[in-house]
Amino acid sequence: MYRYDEFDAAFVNQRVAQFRSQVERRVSGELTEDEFKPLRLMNGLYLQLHAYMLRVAIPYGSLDSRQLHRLADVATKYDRGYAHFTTRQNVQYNWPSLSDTPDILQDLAEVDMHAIQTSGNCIRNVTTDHFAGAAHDEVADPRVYAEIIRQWSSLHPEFSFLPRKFKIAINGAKQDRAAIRVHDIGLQLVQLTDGGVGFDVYVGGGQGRTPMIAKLVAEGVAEQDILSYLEAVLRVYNLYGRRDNKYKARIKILVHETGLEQLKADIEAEYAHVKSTFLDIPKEEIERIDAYFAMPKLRDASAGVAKLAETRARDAGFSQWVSQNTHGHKVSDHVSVTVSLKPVGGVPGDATAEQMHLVADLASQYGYDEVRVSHAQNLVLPHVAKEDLYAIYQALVTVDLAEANVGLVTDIIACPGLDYCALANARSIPVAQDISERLGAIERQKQIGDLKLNISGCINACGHHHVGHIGILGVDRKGEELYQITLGGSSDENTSIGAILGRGFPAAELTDAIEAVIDTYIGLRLSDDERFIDAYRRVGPKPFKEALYPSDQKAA
Amino acid sequence: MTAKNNQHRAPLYKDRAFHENKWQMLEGDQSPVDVDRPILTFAEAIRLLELRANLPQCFGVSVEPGDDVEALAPYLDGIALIAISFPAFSDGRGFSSARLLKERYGYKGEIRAVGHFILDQMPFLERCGVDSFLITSDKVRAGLERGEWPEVTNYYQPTAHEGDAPIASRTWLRQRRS
Ligand code: HEM
Ligand code: SF4
Repeated sequence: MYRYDEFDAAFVNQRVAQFRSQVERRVSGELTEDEFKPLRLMNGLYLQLHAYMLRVAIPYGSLDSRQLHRLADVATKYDRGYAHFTTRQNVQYNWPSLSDTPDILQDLAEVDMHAIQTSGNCIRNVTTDHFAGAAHDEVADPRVYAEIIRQWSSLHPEFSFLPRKFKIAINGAKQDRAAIRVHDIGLQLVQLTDGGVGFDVYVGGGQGRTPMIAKLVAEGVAEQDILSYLEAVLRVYNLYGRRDNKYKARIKILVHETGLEQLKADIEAEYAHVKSTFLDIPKEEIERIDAYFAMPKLRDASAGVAKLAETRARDAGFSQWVSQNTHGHKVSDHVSVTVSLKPVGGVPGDATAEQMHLVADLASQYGYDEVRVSHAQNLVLPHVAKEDLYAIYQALVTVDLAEANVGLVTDIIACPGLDYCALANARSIPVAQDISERLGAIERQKQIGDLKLNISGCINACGHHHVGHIGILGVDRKGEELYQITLGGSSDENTSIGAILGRGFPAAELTDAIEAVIDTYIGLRLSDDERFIDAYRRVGPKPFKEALYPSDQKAA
Repeated sequence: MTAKNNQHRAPLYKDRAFHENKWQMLEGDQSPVDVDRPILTFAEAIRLLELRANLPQCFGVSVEPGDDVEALAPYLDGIALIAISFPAFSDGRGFSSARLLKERYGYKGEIRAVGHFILDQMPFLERCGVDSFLITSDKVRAGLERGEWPEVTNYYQPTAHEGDAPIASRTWLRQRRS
């Protein structure tokens, strides 16, 4: 884990003091809401349907137990006893009072946390693979670069008033678990021919109303040059990105309108100027920061591995949880554990203070003090000895966090929707709950297999519906909440944008429609191992259309 | 009173103090040689500079967000003032224009911010190379009069701004020299 030194701590403390003065000026009426807005948006404070909402940054989704305990304390002390983990690996509080927010930020600063750049038209929290540093398929640990980028982008004097928000994601593994191709910039770590480490750079991905897949603009940018390269991309975007229409202001539109070759040339020209000026990262600096992320000294737990097999044979529920919720580790007697925040019928991504405290305790007792937030809105204990899995599982059962559904149909990503969000067309949470209850039986979930179901309450796509194998999008048709279904999206190394299947369904018919899609898939898959997405790619939308809109087919 | 006259009377903020503004935008068909310290529009300045037309000893150029400051690069030695305009605080292009002028093209004259910037942006602008600010907003003026300079003085970005001291531990860190 990265630890703040005096410089970092002073930075965050000054920011809290600055924000406190801004909030005081708002509370006293000196600032109007209009004047306060750009200031609060620099600090993750949104005005929502019912209240302010505070978004706290979890840089690259990485926490230690002390920080997770503190997030739980904030939920108890200033909110309604729970918090919401987001697809951008951040955490949101839905009910803080404005006047408490400086104190919340002060409490967070004590544990090296902040809300800087969790909103506004600036470079947002850098996200990465939740198994970073632990995964068996890793080229290099992305966190060291994520941390360097976090620093470089924090209160950047030139890039704090961009045309639109800007999101960077880094993936260090062969499998893309960071959805880098749907970010403004996606960085893929690669081994260079000289033995060093570098990045393939993808630019212009994004969701929202015009979903686009990022394009490869540079291959093998060396690690010491990465800040220079990012500065070049950001400068081109800042100068040339559209500002006349907020829906066309993302860099994806610049890529689209300028053309990839021209934009590449513009970036190259800018990079040639920036390179080797201020932003080279010396090797020793990379190594120094890398040392913070060194693998903890894992204990030798090989003796316990056999016992795990025995326990699994005795306890089927546990065994199912191990198969579904653990991921291969660099060291064979360890695994990474995903703690599902998707109990059947629950609110995806919500965790109570009690649950957070328990996960934090498990991290300090068994998990070498590390916790991650995944972009699928779950928590992860990246390093766990296999022999400790049963104890962890039993503890999780007591707080309803032992759902064995990671990667299955009830592991739903959902945005806050109309329950909280001022921009929503439709509810997301009750829809997720209803589907989850319908398909929640473990036998049913296992039968369906790997499936990503994502729900957004409007076209802004906070719930990643475009890249769900099945996506659900809330739309408003003359005052009625309807849900469109998209199929075929994916956010991994084979990223694709889902296609709308047909007209939307009212909430009361939606779960039936989703179940019909799933049953159609089960009927046509070649074997139990053919995943939904693979089957869809093989057969296309037709059989699903026939299942959902039978009368259209007859008429045609 | 026209808006431009109004601007002419607005105070200037430079080196943490208020000063009288001595510069004015050229109006209508005024000739630059007839005005003391005129500021020319970007297009007009480029046109006259390319023509090697008669320009006063001391003149300024205004830069709007869409203007590409690289076009000024060959002429920078002769330009006393560059006024970067902020039609809205949310338009951040001027931040890049200032840095390019100062850092890439080595501009030695005065860079001034003009228009709708907010107080909280002024420290950022300063670090991008802005030397002075024309203060047309009462709110900004009131804040400055109270001595506010809302800034986090530890920086994670190296820029060419002269008031910054490097920090030994990480090469990209800077701190305000107080
Ligand atoms: C509740 C208040 C929220 C509001 C008002 C809001 C607003 C928006 C808007 C307007 C966009 C589209 C931006 C654009 O295309 O330029 C967006 C995108 C996004 N939001 Fe939210 N959002 C909210 C909550 C959330 C939450 C809770 C999450 C995570 C669960 C989230 C994750 C995202 C993501 C991942 C995108 C990116 C899609 C993309 O533009 O590539 N948002 N949000
Ligand atoms: S997708 Fe729409 S409804 Fe959902 S959180 Fe984003 S803006 Fe709100």
